[in-house]
Amino acid sequence: MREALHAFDQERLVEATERALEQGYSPQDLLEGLTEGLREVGDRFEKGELFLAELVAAGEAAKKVIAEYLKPMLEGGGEGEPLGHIVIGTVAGDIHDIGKGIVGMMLFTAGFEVKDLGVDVPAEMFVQAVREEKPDVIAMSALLTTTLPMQRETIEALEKSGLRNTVKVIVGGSPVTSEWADEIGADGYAEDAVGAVKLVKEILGIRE
Amino acid sequence: MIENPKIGLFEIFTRDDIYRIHTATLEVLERTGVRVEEESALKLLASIGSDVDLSRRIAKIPQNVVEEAIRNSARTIHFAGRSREDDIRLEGKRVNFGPGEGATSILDCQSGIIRPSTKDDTVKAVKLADALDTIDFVMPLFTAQDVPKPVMPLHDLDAALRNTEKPVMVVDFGLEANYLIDMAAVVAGGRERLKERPLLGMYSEPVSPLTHGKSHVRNLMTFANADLPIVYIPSPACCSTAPATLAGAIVQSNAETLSGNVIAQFTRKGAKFIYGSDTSLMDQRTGVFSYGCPEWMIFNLAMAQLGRHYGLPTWSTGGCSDSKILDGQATFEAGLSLFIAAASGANLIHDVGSYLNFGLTGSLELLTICDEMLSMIAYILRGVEVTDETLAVDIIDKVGPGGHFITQKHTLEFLKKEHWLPGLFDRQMRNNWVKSGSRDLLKRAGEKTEQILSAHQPVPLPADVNKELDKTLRRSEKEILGHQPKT
Ligand code: B12
Repeated sequence: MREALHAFDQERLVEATERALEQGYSPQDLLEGLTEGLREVGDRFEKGELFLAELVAAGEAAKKVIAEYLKPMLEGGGEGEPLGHIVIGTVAGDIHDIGKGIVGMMLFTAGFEVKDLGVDVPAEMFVQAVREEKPDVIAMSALLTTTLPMQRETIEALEKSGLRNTVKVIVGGSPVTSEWADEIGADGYAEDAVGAVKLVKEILGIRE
Repeated sequence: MIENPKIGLFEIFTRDDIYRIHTATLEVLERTGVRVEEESALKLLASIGSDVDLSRRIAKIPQNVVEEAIRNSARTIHFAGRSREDDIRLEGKRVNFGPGEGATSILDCQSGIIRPSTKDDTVKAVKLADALDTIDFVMPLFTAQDVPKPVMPLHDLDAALRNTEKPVMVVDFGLEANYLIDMAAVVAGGRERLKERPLLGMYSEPVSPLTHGKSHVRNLMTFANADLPIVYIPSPACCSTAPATLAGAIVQSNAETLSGNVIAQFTRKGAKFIYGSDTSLMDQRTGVFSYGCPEWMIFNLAMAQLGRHYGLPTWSTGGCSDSKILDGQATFEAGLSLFIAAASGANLIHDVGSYLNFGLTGSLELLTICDEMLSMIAYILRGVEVTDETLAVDIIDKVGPGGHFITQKHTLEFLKKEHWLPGLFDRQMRNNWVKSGSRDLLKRAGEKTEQILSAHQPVPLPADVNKELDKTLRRSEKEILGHQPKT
């Protein structure tokens, strides 16, 4: 499985998983192995040994295996919780998808469960996601000067619905600065995807 | 403006390449189609024979429709300045240059500090662009970070309209386009006058791959109806929003801009549509969208050639860099991309001197340096004039073997009109260079920029127009924000 993951090959990873399950490996072990493998992939990307497309391909393959094979078998009895739950999205009026996707993928490879709400996500949808998913962190991306205010509005909407204290909020995207993050009362800002992983670990008190 | 029909343009495709790219593009539009988020545009596409799936919002556009739209397009576009001397024409091999709009920060090259850009920076950028000879049209360069953010585009336009007489182009940020047109109409003297003197153009983008966003399509249609110039070009990145192969990314880019043209031409026949793309690469180590890579420059050449093949006025990009500071990388990437853009023959080249840091940081000094590079490039592309007089056989005979030409009348007669003189690049003898302060390019560019900004006063708007523009801006702000912003 490790080999398939590092070959960024979804089909091979699925086959390897099926084979491993037949051979009697427990889904729990496989999940742990996969998580470990993903972390290696993330590290190698950070060191510049892997390309982005490879990181994303490995991540997508692992996601599929976890969602379609391992998760259903583990339901109820599973251990090895993810490091935390993240809900990520690009704010209303903004359709820039790539940076947000990469941040989500890096968080996933680092061991977090990531729910991606997509792009052009209105404040109410973030609020609803907090209510339903009870994530540890909301991550908001904005790439346009004109959509930056939606990050503030989303935080205000969380306050209004009384949920602000239940969740950490981080923001990012090229026009975002740490001053802006402070001004709107976010819990943190990171410049890129590697920084986002460090930031989330820091604000959730997860030691490396 | 650079125009030299004599010099061959830098073209990369054979006729066969163009044919294959064109047919592949038609296949994409007919087989895969495009997603159109705006219902009125979907219905329009259905009414002209596209196969439309309203629930998935997909329109598959038949070949004949795409080609009819190309035939209906404006072949030549008059882009007006506030004064007639500043009018430009987009056609043939005329290449016009202007800054971009988008940087959110400014690099002060003398102090090395990068800070969020303000409306005052935009005013300065526009004044500088107004003063520089090689700049033919003006975009605001920065986006003001110190005004109420949802109405930032109106302030960028405001700064531009007040501080230059050259044609103005602004970015469609998704705000209802009539807000922009209203402001330009004030300057032109009403909506009808604006049609005669189209002094505002808009730049908008589809969302790659193959999607036309709601507000951008609406604004495309609004501009088409207003008969104003509209740039509608995609900005996909190889390996993320476009295929990894260059030819594949070109086919997709072509399909995206041409399907925009279908919407424009069937909204209003003869719409002033400007064709092109700003296709580049997602860097595989950092994910950034590169504004300096060689792939991007090839795409610029490719799209200029395709657009010319279709007989459409074309848009391109140059004078930018991925570097964070104004260093050797920045001047090389900016200079090379400007040369490529100029030699591509595209009609409007934007982002000149506007982007460091792949689009996020602007620098006035870079614009000043690009002006110098452009004047050099224009000189090169002018080529060599070949006449009896310039062949100079008589003078060569007169001077003969072993003599010199310094004192010849022929020399004195031609030295000014035949040669390029640097305004910023240094050719001093070393000692004099040291005596005058050992100033490097950056330092000199900073000084020249300062000088221009303190000496140049753009022609102001008449007092009543100024007032009316103020009123229009305030009214629009109030409508958009729901309240009057604090000033
Ligand atoms: C590609 C691109 C597009 C594509 C997007 C395609 C897609 N599917 O995503 C298209 C062509 C559709 C597009 C459209 C527009 N764009 Co655009 N776009 C870009 C471009 C060139 C690159 C963005 C990108 O993908 N970068 C690569 C990724 C990896 O980087 P990133 O997004 O910055 O993300 C990283 C970090 O910011 C961070 N991060 C991101 N999100 C988050 C979230 C959190 C929580 C954290 C911690 C970190 C984090 O980590 C990421 C990974 O390292 C930028 C220029 C630039 N240099 O950013 C302009 C840019 C953002 N766009 C701009 C503009 C103007 C537009 C349009 C208005 C153009 C138009 N007229 O139509 C439209 C708006 C559409 C809309 N409603 O949103 C301007 C914005 C200017 C401004 N001041 O606001 C920019 C800056 C270009 C410019 N210089 O003019 N765009």
